[in-house]
Formats: sequence, C-alpha cells, structure tokens
Amino acid sequence: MSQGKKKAKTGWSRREFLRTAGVAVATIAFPEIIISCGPQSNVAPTAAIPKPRKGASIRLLQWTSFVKPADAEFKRQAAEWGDANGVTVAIETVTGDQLQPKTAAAVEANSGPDIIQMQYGWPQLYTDACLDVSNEVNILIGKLGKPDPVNEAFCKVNGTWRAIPYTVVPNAWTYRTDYFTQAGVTSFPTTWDELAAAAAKLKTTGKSISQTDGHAYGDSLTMWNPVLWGYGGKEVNADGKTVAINSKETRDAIKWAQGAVKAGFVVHPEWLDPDNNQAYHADRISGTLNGASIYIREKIEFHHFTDVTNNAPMPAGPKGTFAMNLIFNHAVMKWSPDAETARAMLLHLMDKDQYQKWTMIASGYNAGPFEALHNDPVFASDPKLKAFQDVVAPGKWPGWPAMPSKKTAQAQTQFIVADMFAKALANGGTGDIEAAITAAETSLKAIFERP
Amino acid sequence: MAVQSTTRSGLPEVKRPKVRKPRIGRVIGDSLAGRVIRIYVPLLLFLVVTLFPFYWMAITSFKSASELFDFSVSPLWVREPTLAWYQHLLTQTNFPHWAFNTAVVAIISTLISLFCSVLAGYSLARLRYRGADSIGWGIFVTYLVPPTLLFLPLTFVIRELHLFNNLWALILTYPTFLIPFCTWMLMGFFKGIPHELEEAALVDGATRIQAMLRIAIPLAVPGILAAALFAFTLSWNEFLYALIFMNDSLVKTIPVGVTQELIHGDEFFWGELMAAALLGSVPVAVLYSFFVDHFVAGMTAGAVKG
Repeated sequence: MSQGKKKAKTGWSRREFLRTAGVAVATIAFPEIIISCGPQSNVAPTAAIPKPRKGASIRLLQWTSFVKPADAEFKRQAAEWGDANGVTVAIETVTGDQLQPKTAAAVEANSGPDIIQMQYGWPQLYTDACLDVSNEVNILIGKLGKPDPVNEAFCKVNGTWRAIPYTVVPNAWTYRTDYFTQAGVTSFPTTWDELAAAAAKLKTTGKSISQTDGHAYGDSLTMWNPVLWGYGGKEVNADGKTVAINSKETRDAIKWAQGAVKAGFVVHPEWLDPDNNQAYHADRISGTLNGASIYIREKIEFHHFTDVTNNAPMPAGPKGTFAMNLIFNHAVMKWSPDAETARAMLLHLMDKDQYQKWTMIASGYNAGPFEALHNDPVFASDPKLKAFQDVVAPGKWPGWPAMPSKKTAQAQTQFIVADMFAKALANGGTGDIEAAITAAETSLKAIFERP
Repeated sequence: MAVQSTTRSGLPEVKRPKVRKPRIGRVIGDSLAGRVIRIYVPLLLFLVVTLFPFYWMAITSFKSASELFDFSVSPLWVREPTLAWYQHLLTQTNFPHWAFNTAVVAIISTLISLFCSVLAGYSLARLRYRGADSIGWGIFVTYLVPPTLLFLPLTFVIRELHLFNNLWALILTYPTFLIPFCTWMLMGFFKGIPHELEEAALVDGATRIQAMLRIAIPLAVPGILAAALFAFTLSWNEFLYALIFMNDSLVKTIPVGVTQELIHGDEFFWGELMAAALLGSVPVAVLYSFFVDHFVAGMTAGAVKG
C-alpha cells in the first residue's frame, strides 16, 4: 500500500514552525491585519490554517448514511475539493457495525485510512492513534461558535481535541397521527407518564407504541438511557468511579417502564435497529423512537403513511428532558503521511455553506455540531422535522454525568442499562426489579471500580 | 419343554412349543400410502425447510418497494413481479465486480489450499515419521482458532506485505483456515487407502512420488472433491477478512459489497439484498449439484475411515 512506504510526519516541520511563528509575531505586532482578514478574523490567534499538499492522497472511512444522496453529496464535495487542490480523495463507507472492526484493525496495524469517523467515545478508546486536532477545532470554533457539549465530550480527551466534531444523528419519536386520533390522543405525550397513558389507549387500536429493549446498536441506548436520566438515575457518579445505579431514582425509572409495559407499551428484546423501521413501514405499530430515517423513507420512497406520520421530541421525566443521539466525529489518524492535507479537507467539509448543502440533501437525518449550524434551513423546510432539531440540545452521552472514557464505552457496548430494563420488563413487565438492578450494579462495578 | 400325552392311535404325542408365526398382512412400506408416510412426507418437510429460504429470497427480490412492507396480503406470493431490483443491482452497483472478485479469490485460494492439503494430508497419513500424529492434531487445533482472533495479527502481516485493498490479501489469507480443514479431512481419506496398493507399486519400481501421484491421489479423488467443495464454499462466503482487507468498492467480494452498499443506516434495502443473495448463492448451488455424489461419498468415507 502506498501510504505504508511513506513516513508519517512527527513533530514540527520547519515550514510549520515558521508559519506559526510568523502568525504569532504578526498577531502581536499588527493585530489589525489579522482582524481585517474577513471570516478568519474569528480564528483563534494561534491557529494555523492547514494547507493541502498537491499530489497527496487521502482516504476517509465512515459509515454509510441512511440517505444515499447524502453520501453522494459528501463524496462530491470531497472530490471537488480534491480536484481544486490536486489531492486524490477516496471515501469508503461501511455499515455502523462494520466500522468498529475496521477501525480496530487499522489501529492494530498502525496503517489504514487517513481519516476515520469516530462514533460515540472512540476517541477515548483510540486516543493514541488520533492526532491532536485542537488547532482545527479552534479554527472551527472561531467560525461556527461553540461545539455541542456531547460532541465536545466525545472529541476532547484530557483537554486535547482528538477528533473534529462532525454531526449528530438526532433521535425522536415517529408516530401515526391517525391511530393516535382514533385512540383519543390528540398530541404526542410530553412526559413519560403521559406516554404510558397514551400507550394504554393506543393498545385498543391494535397498533401499539413499541420499542426495542434488546441489543440494538442505536435504538436501545437512545431509549433507555434517557428514561433512566429522566427519573434522576445514573450509572456512575460524575467522578467516573463510583457506581450509582442502585438508587431510588433507578427504581422509579424501572417502575415507570414496568407500568408502561403493563398498560400497553410493547417492548421487543429481539428487535435490532432496522426492526422498528420495518414494523412501522409495515403498519404494525403506531409509534417508535428512531432517527429520521422512518419518516424520510416514508416521505421519499413509500408514500404510504407520509400524511399521517409526525415526529415528536423526547418526553420529560421528573428530572427533566433528556435525549441520546448518535454522535459522529472525524479523527485524523497518526499514521497518515498527509495529515495536514487531511486536516485541510475536514475544515473544508465543515465549512458552513458546504455543510448545509450536505444536511439539506440528508433531509433532516443529520444536525450540525456547532452553534452556527443549529438553525439549519433543512429543519425549517419541513415542520415535521423540527422534533429532530429539538432533541439535539437535551442530548447526553452514555455514562453521563461522568465524562466519556474507556470505561463508559465498555459499559455502553455491554448494554448494561438496556439489559437492566429488559430484565425488569420480562414477562409483561413483571420482572424482578432488585435482581435487575443488582445485576447491573455488579457489571458496572466490574468496569468502574476495578483498580 | 415337550410334554408327552397319548393320541388316538396310541402313539405318544409330542407337544411342541408354540412358535409365533410372522404376522400376515400388508407391511406399511409396501403400499403407496406407506411410502408416502415413511418417505415422501418427511422428504417434503425436509425440502420445505431447506428450500424455503431460497423461495423467500426469490419472491422478495421480485416484489416492488410498496409490496415489500404490505402485510395486508399474503407475503408468500408476489402480486406484481418486478425486475427493478435486479436491474438496479446489476447496473447501479458494482455487483458484477464483486461476483468476479469472489470467484477469483475462491478459485485460486481453493487451488492453493488443495495443493498444500493433499501434500500435507498424504505426508501425515502415509509417511511414518515421529510427531506425525502431533502435527495432525496441531493442524486441527489451528483450524479451531476463530478468525475474530486472527484478523488483527493478519492485518499486521498484510500491511507489511503492502497488500491492503488487493485481492491477493484474501487469496493468501484464506488458506490459513482452508489448509488446516482440508488437510484434516484428507488425512482420513489417505489413511483409508490400503498400504498394500502403494507397496505393490513401490515393489514394481515406482518412486514414492509416483506412488502418490498414480495410486493414492486417484483413489482419494472423492475426498479431494469434497475438500474442494468445502474450501470453495468457505472462501465464497467469507466475510471478516474481506471486510478488513478490502477498501474500494471495485475490489470487494459479494458478502462485503452487498452488506456495505445495500444497507444504509438502520434501513435495509431488502429487494436488492435478496436479489444479490440469490445471485450470490447460484454458483455454489450449481457446483454442489454437479458434484453431489462425490461430495456425499467423500464425506462418508472421510468420516468412517479417519
């Protein structure tokens, strides 16, 4: 492989040193020059704009977006930038499940794509393989404002940015307005208690509100963590060491879930991420928690229930409204022989105009991770998409309030919270609450409280 | 025990123990109904279980997008068949490339594996040298090491060989699990061939290699074919190494290309997926149908003589 023959840059080159030193001296001596530099005037004074190297070759690995044209637009933008700068760009897309082994193999071999999409807390898992991109994030902060706290929590490891915030895949409720009306529910519930009451009424229509409590890569985590947080429960304290799952708040959350299931909310431990989509498209359920993919596919492909489908944000618990969304960021890998070119390309793709062209084509499946990208026109283009915009702000990460770490990632991949709910919701919501909590506590202690 | 009594003629009568006569009547297997119950019904059930996945793949691949999720009618039939998924698969994706790559990799890696396995199997089964049994067991244990453990070190090896994104990465790594399996299988066949045949050839002046090529290998052809079929099928369906070592769409194999380009986020595009699965399974099915007799004979022989 060609990049294997090239030696990756380490440390500062003479050119980088002179450029940075020059910018620093100029900033001190002639601040008005820097200030007058248009859009770059917001760039942090120490930021050095990375320059692409003509003739470089960049390979980027990320997941396959649900919206095919969005991937095509991303590739088009990357290729356009490559053509303009004499850089060969290759974008490889794989499914979310396949991204992890490919990333692990690349890290192990110390070779592979120049840029890898980091999902959730992977920067914490692969810290040493991810280059420091603080300079580039500072440039983006200068242009686009503050990053979303969840992206920041995942990207920043021990104060150093190891990935550049890329996108949020918001998760909200998609539901059938016709069945809700038929059941006498005039609007989507705004609290978990209301949701349980609505589920009881929807049961009479034969089309229940349904969700997985199994090991679904996205849908299970995005459901049961917000329920836990909404009642004040948490896996671990903010110190990231003390397991706190065995609490009254956790019991309250589980009791709500058991009550909801007894009332008519249907849980499916056998469902993986595609199953609730298919159940909805097949007219088998009246509502479910998901990304915008169900609504978008109805709208652009099936046209069966588009008019009677709406979306709603997360209900609130006694402790407030919480959400969990899929978070993707881009890391520049340490083995890249053209890391500076990779950084330059990522900055170009995060340019507001470029980015919003992409989110518009993504039809609401993606939201921007910086302040200036929040009021994306795509969410105004269809009022039904607003729910997906609304769930970004209350978003948290697995393990919250502890900061993301290898341990929170481990607890997430073991589905400890989802399993706890699943045990308690077995047999029609009559599972043993204490046994479920004890099992979760044991698993969490094995992760967080080991030396 | 015989008990004596007197008959009318005065001769002692010898009572013989009663022997149960075989029940006279129609044996169930003789009749048509019997054959139906004993043979055809189980066979039909077996066929349904075996062929239903193929039937499901076929009908799903001919359903339109709206029909795929319409459960108001029986999902077992197609109301308005369409070839749109096949057209899309063959013209809008790189499926023809994936099929070609899969065939190239499966054929070459099978040939390499067979060559090595025949030599290794013959050596371990026929040549008496110290440690042959241990080596045989060692090879079998190697086969038990799961690819999920091996892919990380193999990634390192492939990087050192600069073979990422190159079909040779697969052609060279597939034998790591094919050779142990085929060797173990062929050892059984070679052990089953009488030593006298080869010894006769050796007495007649054949060299060891001539005896192997002209006596042992021709007799082991059923086993070699069975091993070849297994190796080909394993290579054709292999997923993990192809996922890790191949990057560009044009160099992917069917299992990886199909899952990477026909699954988007949490939405599965079932029409194209089923069309690809059906087309992808055809070569293996054809191969099996041609060599099924050898395959069954080989499996049985290997099982009892090993």
